[in-house]
Amino acid sequence: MNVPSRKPYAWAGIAIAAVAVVVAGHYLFGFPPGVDNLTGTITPAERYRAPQQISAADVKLGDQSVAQLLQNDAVVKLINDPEFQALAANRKALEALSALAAAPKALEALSAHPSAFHAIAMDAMSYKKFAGKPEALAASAEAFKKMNPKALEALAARPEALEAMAAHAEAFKAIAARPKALDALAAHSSALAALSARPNALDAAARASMDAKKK
Amino acid sequence: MTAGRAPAVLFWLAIALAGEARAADERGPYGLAYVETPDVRLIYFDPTLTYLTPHALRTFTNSLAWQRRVLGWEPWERTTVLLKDFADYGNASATPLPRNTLRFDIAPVSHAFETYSAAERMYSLMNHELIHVSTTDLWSEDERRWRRLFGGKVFPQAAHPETLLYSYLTVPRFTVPRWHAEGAAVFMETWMAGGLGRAQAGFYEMVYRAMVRDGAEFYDPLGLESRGTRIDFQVGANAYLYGTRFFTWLAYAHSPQKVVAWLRRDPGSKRHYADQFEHVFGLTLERAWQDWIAFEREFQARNLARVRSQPVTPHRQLVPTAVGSASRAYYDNGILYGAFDYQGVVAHVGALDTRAGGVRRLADLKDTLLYKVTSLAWDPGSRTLFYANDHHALRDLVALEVDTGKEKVLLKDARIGELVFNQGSLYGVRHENGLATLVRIPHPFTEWKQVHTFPYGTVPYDLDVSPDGRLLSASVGEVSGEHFLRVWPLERLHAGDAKPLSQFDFGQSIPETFVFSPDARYLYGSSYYTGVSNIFRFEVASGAVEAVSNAESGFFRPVPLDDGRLIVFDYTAAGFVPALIEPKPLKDLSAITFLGAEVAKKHPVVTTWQVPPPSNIDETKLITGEGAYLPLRQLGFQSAYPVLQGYKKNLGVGVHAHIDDPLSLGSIGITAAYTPSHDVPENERAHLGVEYRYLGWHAGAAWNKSDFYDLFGPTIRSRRGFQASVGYDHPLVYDEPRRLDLKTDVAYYDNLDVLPRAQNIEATAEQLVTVEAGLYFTDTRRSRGAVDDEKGVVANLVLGGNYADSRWIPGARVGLDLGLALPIGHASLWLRNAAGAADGDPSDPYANFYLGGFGNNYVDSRTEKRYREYYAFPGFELNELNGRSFTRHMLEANLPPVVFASLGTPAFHLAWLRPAVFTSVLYTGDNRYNNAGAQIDLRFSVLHWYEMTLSAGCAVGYRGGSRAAEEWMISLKIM
Repeated sequence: MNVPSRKPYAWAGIAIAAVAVVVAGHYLFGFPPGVDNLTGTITPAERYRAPQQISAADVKLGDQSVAQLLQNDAVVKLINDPEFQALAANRKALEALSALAAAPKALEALSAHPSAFHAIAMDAMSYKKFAGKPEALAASAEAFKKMNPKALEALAARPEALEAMAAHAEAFKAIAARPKALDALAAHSSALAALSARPNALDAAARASMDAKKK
Repeated sequence: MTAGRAPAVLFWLAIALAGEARAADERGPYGLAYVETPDVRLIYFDPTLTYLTPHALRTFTNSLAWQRRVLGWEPWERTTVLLKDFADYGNASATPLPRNTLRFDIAPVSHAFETYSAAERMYSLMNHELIHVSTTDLWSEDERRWRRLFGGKVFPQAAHPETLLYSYLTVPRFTVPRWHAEGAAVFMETWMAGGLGRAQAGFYEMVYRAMVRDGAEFYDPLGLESRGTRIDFQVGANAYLYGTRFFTWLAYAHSPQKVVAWLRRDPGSKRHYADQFEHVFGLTLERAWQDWIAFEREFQARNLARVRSQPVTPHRQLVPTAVGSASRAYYDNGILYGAFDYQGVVAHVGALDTRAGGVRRLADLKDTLLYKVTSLAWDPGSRTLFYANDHHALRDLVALEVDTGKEKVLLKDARIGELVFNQGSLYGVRHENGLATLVRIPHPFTEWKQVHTFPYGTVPYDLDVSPDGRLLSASVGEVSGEHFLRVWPLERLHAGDAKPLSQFDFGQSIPETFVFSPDARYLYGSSYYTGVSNIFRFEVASGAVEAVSNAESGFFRPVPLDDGRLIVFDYTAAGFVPALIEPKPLKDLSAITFLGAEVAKKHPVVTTWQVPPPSNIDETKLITGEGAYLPLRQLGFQSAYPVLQGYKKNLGVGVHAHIDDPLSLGSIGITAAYTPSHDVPENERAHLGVEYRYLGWHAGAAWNKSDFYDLFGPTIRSRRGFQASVGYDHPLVYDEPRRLDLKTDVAYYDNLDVLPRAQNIEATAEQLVTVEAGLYFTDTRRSRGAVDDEKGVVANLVLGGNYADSRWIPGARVGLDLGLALPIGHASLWLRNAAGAADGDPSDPYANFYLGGFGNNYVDSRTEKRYREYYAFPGFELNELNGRSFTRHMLEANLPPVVFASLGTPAFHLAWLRPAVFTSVLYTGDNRYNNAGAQIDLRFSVLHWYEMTLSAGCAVGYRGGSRAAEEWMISLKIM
């Protein structure tokens, strides 16, 4: 009588056990951490790592458009431009520009022909011609016309900023809707100074607060 | 204007001030906005940080639920969380005083050397900071009674030193050493993030392994506080290192449940942390500390044996002593260029001669990182180094020609670091509003261009570019806590394609400073893959990774040389030491054991402590309010308590009440007191003082002004009569340590008996108006471990005048201090100058400057170095010297301090002793005075958080050339 060999079962058992050990090790101690290409027999150190870590899907973020807009060099330069800040101080002009930002075609046209700013500042009809949504923009044409010429020059000198504004029209509208926020952006470093320089401001307990990390 | 109309003027000024404040409030200062739930008031800068609010609310809510469940914390009040973006590296701070408050700098954190958790930063920071608040705000019936009596938790204030006691009564668990606070937070942070934290960090294992290998001293709890956080190159970080390790050992040896019991404030628990320790563990803290050190020595000896089970890579040190912390370095013809930061020398960019061993200082750095110092790039063609300053503010980009030492600031507040040079351009990573953007800075490096913005939570660091300029490499951290080494073709990145050409997943082991080999075939860098930081090489084409070193402690920051050898930074107990190794692919390396992992094995309960993912919270259902943050509408009662007041050295009793908003942007302090002394006229026995602050504005009014420190004298600040003042301060330049402040003040006095600033000079006018506007500039530096400024410039220009008896008397004064560091550690030499002039009759007290004396009170709250002030002149009586004009020149030598070890108890110990000698010459009109003196300041620490200074001084004064008098001074400065 042929007695069936137990070896295949033994090997299968060993293999299953080995797989179980590796799987358990991976989930309990997070090793090996993606070592597919690590050569040799180098042993990683064991560190406990929970099987479930938070992922990008667990991070709920709000509207990032303004934060993203401020990653753009042209926009940052524009916001820090004193002439543009003068424009931003003019609520009507800012609203006009905001409306323009919502009409990307118009901005694109202006980007290609920055000198057109001067023309539209002089002529409301010219402004309407440039704007992609003449009806929507007509109301702000007068305000746009009244823009500070120097501010217009500041804009005209930066066609790349206009492109960035067109690409982030919603973010620009969000900023323009809150002129003081624009002030705050332009004056971020002064806000830093104003709030950080005073021990009583923000940090009443600065002398006795605990950090997450020693700097 | 007559002096009699001054109150009306001040009144209208106050109205204007209030109007200004109200106008500012309508829009919220600086765009501040808030959103709140029943448990948290989240304040943030709108619109830039608005996108982070859902994540912040969710992580807070989850963490709070955990604190309630595990620590039994029921918050005393709604917690305030502030999100700001004022620093280019992330961090956060927390305090239970005066209200539960967390403050976040939301930029990406530095993972240098694995000194911070690999986990997503908001999740990790929220857990860490809330541990601080929960373990200190915890309250029992005792604390509840005290808090109700005082109307809240009492924040210690120098003006009322009794508040130290009240603070302890209301928040006793705040009175813990720093190592305890950070140890608890880091230990818990690790398990709350499912194991991603510093209780399992390679750096923390390395520090103790190196200490055992090098035979370094282990601090006891007292030595750690008194010496370990001051003279060691890791300074304050030692509180984290020791605290984390001690807590981890406690959990391992005694159980995590006992650690939790130690932190809780259950009925029957002890008020003081050390008593509670004994109550829970059944042994004293000091005994347990010794047990831990004995364990640690054995534990690390076993780890060293594991490392040594394979041949250890030989290395040759290039300099005889450690260079403290070090940046990435560049090798050029025998010279190693890098940024270094160590004890006694201001952090600097230096040229280290690898043949002779010396370091040539090229340029001082400001606001450096503790371990990484700065990011450094090298252009070998123009022999220029590029580096960043202001890492905890907005980073500047600076160029330094190494041969001439010429420095130039290229970009101010550009917020760019992680610099690398590539064929005429720089690449770097810009941090703004919590996002990381790869930028290119083309020659002449005066503007930057956005290349690619990474999603929130994806953070590149440690950039390098291949020698042919085609490939860019970086370490990249992801939300999951995994860290990758990635390589991209630059051309594709510029085209908007951020998919890497190749990558390697190092898991939670931080891939550190990978740099291309000269042939661009490999990237060399370090990782704690085996628990020890070894050098690995990553083959770009295949993605294969090989270890090329077996270090005992850790090798970092490899610099590939043309001959195939590597310069590395070898970690020692004294800091990093540049060394040479021959990299050889190794097939066998032994892993060490992490104490944190042993805790998880022995006590699996910690693996159940993970805080759930933020996605399990729907924050929209929790929100109860949102809008612009208007500080003046948020003013609320903070606390009130009995105080002692002094009125011309007579004792009075009173009460102080404090009102402010949750961020303390606006505050009102009211002190009312009565002096029941027959030595004081009846109409002077009642005292009332009101102080108001809102952003830069300040105003105050007082009737028979009183002051606690007048009880001790000799300087008297209390004054008879009515006084009111209003002013505005504004930082014109804020670029720490360089700053220029504008300070203005208008004050009105009625029925004064003596001059406001000269207690020994009778007031001759019934009413007095003083006006002052000044510019104050300071730019001083100090090295790691310093106890005072060691070099720099301090200058001021103050214009103003007095209006009295229908006379307007204008005046001005200037000051200029110049200091330089001496070659002896922490010693410095200063030339301090002051001059002033006023118009008017020389006999008119309002047209004179009054000088004299040290000015320190026996018990005081103002600066102990009072002899530096323009009005001081030790060796003469207070106000003894006067003149319509004066010039004073002082030469001051600050001698090396003595730092004490283990002198006292952890809650009360001596920190350091600082000697100084000075000599001055003063001219007032035709009169000449001299003095020579000395002062010793003895700093000691009280209740772990508060520093007090006992000063003693003496001086001899000379009038003309003759000895006039001598003066002795002793003073205790509180807080």
